[in-house]
Amino acid sequence: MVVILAAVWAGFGLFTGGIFLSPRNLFNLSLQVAVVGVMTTGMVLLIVARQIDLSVGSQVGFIGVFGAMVQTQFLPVDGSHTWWIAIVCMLLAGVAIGALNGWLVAYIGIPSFVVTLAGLMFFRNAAYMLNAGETIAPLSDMFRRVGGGLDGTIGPTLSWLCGALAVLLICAMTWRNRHRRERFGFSNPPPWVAALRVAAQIAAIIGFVLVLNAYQLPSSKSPAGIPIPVVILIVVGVVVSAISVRHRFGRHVFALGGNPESTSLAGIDTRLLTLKLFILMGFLCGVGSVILSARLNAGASLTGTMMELNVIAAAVIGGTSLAGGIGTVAGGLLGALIMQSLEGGMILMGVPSPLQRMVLAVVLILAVLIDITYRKRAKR
Amino acid sequence: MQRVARMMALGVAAMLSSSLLLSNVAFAESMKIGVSWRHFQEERWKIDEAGIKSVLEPAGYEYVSTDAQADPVKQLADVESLIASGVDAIIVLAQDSQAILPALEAAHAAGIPVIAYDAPVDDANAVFVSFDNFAVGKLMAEAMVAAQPNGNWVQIEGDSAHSIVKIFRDGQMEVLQPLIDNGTIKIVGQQNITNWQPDGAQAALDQILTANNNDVQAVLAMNDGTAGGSYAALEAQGLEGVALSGQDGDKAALNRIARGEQTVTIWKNSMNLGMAAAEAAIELAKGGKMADLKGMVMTKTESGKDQSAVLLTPYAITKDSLNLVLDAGWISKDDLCKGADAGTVAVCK
Repeated sequence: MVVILAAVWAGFGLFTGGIFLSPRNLFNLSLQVAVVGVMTTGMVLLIVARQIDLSVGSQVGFIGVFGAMVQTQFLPVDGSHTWWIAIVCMLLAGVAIGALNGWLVAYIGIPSFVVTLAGLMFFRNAAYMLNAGETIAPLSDMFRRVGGGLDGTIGPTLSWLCGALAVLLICAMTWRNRHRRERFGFSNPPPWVAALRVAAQIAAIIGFVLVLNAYQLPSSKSPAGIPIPVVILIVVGVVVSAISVRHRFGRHVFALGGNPESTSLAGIDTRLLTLKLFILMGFLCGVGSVILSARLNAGASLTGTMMELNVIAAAVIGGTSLAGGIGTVAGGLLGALIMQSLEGGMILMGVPSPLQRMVLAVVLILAVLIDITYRKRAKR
Repeated sequence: MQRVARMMALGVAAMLSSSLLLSNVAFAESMKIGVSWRHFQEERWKIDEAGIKSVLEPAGYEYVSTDAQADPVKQLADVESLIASGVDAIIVLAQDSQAILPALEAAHAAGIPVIAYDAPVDDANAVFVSFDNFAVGKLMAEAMVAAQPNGNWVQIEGDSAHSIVKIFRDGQMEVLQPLIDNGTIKIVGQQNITNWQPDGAQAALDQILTANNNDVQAVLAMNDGTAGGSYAALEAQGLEGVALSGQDGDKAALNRIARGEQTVTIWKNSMNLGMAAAEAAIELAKGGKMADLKGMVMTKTESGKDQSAVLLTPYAITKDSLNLVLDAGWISKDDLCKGADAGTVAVCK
């Protein structure tokens, strides 16, 4: 997958005369990936557990309008606490919708495809009904920062700090992993291989921070640093990934996806697990909606239409199998990055929008084909 | 076996008697006008609906509606069901000007008059009730040229599946083409935004601004939703002074105009349009002729057929003409002026 991403970036860099690889475009790209990326982490886990959520785009729209109403109609839009109260309300709304979906799937027994298909129709139109279709704008200033607007970045110093933290974490984890494998008698790849991998990851992190610092905020001409939505994305990605790989919850999810019957016979409450997964997805839709409506500085009922396709495609491109049991959060994030790079790059090149969607569809099939072929070869 | 037969007989009897009852009811209350919406979700249609109802109800007509959810095939089924339910006239906001034709032919065959509402249809027997959409494009371009006579322009256009987009474009081009030809204006970016989504417009303009290194002086957005998304993209780059257009007179857009963030919106009093369409529908339902309709003009469809049309006048709303929307009660002064600098906007003082 990383190879595919590199190829896409190199290709676009060539076709756009280097504009694609400019700090500004990569900064924009990181903002655009944030929303889809956050939701993809949850979707990966859902698909691994043999479920699906088709209503994520409609949830984003609904929560967006709801949050905008909270900010402008229930609270003073320039109040100092408006922004975080609105965010809390939006996250709670996401959790509530997720709980409803999860309950219908896990405890009532309706297939998730049906429940979330209904949810897609229901919440898109509920978003319209909430404010009779009128777009609500503008929103609270502090809220907008969360979307990366109004100089919503953490600045160069904090960005380097984050980078340093990430480097430390990677070194610590790699060392700990090698140590544990030795202790339990597993073989380790030779030290120079491990060192090379760590070096590559460190280089990627440093490159990431460098590029984002190289972009200058238009208003102050000072280096931007990591945008707040990207920080949110990183935190969400790390947390969900850690849960899925290290925590018992994650093990249960993969067990459920691999074989639901034996999982339930082994004493794991699969219904509660499914409910929790949908609640997680709803929560992440809330986060995505906060970022998207903050970026747009408006609550519009059409926001997020068709986004479920992007999120599911990102998960699948990242190696998640629709049959369940296989998938990684990191892969899903890579998939989101690939999809968004393609979309953004094509607009840079001036490709008309119907053609863009066609290209994305072809890429989706190609990426999954490559992944399946690679896996078959690896098995032999 | 006997039980099954009995159940079936009961069922058939129930169906027969209820349909007899219903058809009697249909005969008794025959005054119905059916409206087929293409996608009621977009912001303005509820205003149009209010306009239609405000004429139908006092005249004693029942208002029946369907929503095709942007699916041309569903709209065929919707129109057919309206015909079957015995409406006296059909008002159709077509999702697709060609795909709707079989349904309209069915209506004509059933003797039901058809009003094509705001979206063009390629049918000589339907009356097109709309705003002068060519004038919409022209007014938009004129107001933009007045604010920004030269430089690099970006076109953020509507969903390419909607044929009305081409009419807006033609109106815009009548003003812009000479300026493009002599080099005063250069189009440096153009994208059609699927579903007219504001977030889609923001993402597209982000990329176009990057491709042109922010050297953009005007953004010709085709409606207020996409103008909102465009403004978010402009603001993120500190380009607040760039000329920006829109259409529909959305409250958020009018507020942007008061705040100096948007240059112009083309206001179409859709309440008036709904009323005009309902009046025409009632006229035709009573047996009136297309030629006798108030304000009727002849236009051409996209394939060149002659079509009767009732075209209302759109208005360009800029900072100086905000009083028009205030006086018509379209928006409250509070909603219009929030965050605006009262010193620069006459109506907000």
